[in-house]
Amino acid sequence: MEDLLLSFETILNIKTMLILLTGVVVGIVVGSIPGFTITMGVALTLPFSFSMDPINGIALMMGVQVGGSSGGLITACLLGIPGTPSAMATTFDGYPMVKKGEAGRALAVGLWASFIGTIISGIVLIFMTPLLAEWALNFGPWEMFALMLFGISAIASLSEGSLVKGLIAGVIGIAFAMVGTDPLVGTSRFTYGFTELLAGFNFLPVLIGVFAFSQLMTDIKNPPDSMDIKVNSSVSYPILKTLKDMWTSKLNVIRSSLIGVFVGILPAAGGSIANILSYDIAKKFSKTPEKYGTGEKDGVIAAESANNSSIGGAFVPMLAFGIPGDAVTAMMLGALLIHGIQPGPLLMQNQPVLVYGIFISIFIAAIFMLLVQSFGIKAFLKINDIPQHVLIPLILMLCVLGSFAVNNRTFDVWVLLLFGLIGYWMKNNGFPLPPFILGIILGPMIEQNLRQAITINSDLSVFMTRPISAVLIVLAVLSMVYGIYNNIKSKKEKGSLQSS
Amino acid sequence: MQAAKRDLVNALVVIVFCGIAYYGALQIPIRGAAKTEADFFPKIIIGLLLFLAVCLLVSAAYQLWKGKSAQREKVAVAGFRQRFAENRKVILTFVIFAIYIFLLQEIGYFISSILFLFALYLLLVPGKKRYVVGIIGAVLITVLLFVVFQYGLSVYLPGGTLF
Repeated sequence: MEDLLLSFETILNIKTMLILLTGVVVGIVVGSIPGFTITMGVALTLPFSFSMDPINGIALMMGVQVGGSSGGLITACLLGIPGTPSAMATTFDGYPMVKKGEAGRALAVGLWASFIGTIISGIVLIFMTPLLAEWALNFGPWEMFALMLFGISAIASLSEGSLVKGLIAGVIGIAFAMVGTDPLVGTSRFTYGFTELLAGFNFLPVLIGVFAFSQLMTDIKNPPDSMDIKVNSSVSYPILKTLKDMWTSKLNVIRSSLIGVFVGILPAAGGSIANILSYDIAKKFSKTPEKYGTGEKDGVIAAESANNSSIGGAFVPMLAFGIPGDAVTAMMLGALLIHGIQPGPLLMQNQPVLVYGIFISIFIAAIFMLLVQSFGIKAFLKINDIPQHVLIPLILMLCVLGSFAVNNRTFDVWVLLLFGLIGYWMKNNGFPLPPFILGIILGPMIEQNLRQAITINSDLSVFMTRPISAVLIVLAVLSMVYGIYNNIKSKKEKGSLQSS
Repeated sequence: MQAAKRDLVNALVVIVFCGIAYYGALQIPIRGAAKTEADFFPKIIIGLLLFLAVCLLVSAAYQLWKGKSAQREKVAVAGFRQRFAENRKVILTFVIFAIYIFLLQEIGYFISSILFLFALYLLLVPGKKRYVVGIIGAVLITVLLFVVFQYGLSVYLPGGTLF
């Protein structure tokens, strides 16, 4: 209780509030620009978090994530183009609603669904994290290794495209994480004569390169569609009518939010999958499924509550086990590591004020998101007027300065370029990026746990004789079998489409 | 067919990466002080990556062979020139970026950043290029970011001979 009060004290001050608010505004801006992703937004705010306390740094990124998840709604409804990939299903009914002259209603129910989704996921996060963290305290290196193995295999099999490519992406990520000084015996590895590499690749230029830089290059190659927003009806909608709409869809909101939380908890599956899955489920449960796709408010509600609720879900494994649930939490994990904080089961015991602070920041970010987007919708529509030839150079400069700021050296800007090239090559050749990032973040921990396990007992069968470790390894194998099944299924579908 | 060809090249790229990494793994000094040496994990990872790359190679080769034997389609393979034309802006951005990093350490933040932003503006702006607007925009962004980073975040940006 004392820790909780201390956390409130840490969060409820003007500086942290302003940081959270800034994060939310940046998130909505990034989320509302087609072609820009939340991951990219978080990567770009990461350098600004260096000079802050860990809680303020996390609050900033939390604001971006929560704001971004709902910001995608704006262009999804008004243009029919998802502002971020996690607003894909929002376009299915949001855009038809706008065409029917219900722009204000679509935006309002979407926003409130995002808000309620975030709150529900925050509640689940508060109750689940301590329980899982306590359970994970009994984990030895065998269980931790098996858990990370499951994380990587799940992210590879759930990511878009082929399983082999997903696994290659994850293993290349682990390979890059091996560069630097060996964690156990202290010899240097893969430095190829560069003393700058003795400490390994810094997370930050790697993350900015892979997510932001490569995304900008993709935008240069394939510029997003025209941003000319012309709405034939008002973008505002009375709050009482919105609340009435939400009340009539209460079951949908709760169900979709819980689906989002569950998807978020799964390693790898983030807002994009939650958004589409909950839309599909809402359609199946609906008494009038034929209305979906024609401008049904429940479609927007299902899609938006799920993509926001996946945020809290993704934090559960990150805080309880030290394993991120998606690419954005992987970045936050990187940010905590930069501050010298190791997420995992002990975090709850060692840094309870920080953990409670993270919980509280989700709720406050949700409130800010609701207020900022309700009152600032017209201003956010203007953002899309900024031409790409102004935005892209500006953001590239932010990438450069963010990478430079890590150690005040240009070597890290070269690292940014290298990983920008790698990220671009991967994106263009169907290699998913999330497993790569998870590989980079988890690589050192996987190695450490495997080697510790072998040092304690060189008998490898221990991995299968310890029950939790065995279950996790079986789950890892099952996730790969699922990936193979999915690959075969999609190939068959493609084949039948081509033949027809 | 086109995708299979690309995957064939991708698999070869990964195999070359494995070769470079394996060479690096051989250079790791062995101390004999621990049950698992510093090259223990890298060799497992390189082996695994090589296995996956071979899987991709075999699958791409099979797709290619299947496509050819069935003679279902004749996809024109994009030539080097066509590929360059499609990716011209991206390639040039990468080149400009590399020159920028080089200049950043040689002549400092101000001049190199203004040149970089102006070059990118010229490359990316569609239609008529307005040189004065481009230069003013580049100077403004450079100064604004300098103020934010140097005074707001205490990040001291590289200085040059003039600035």
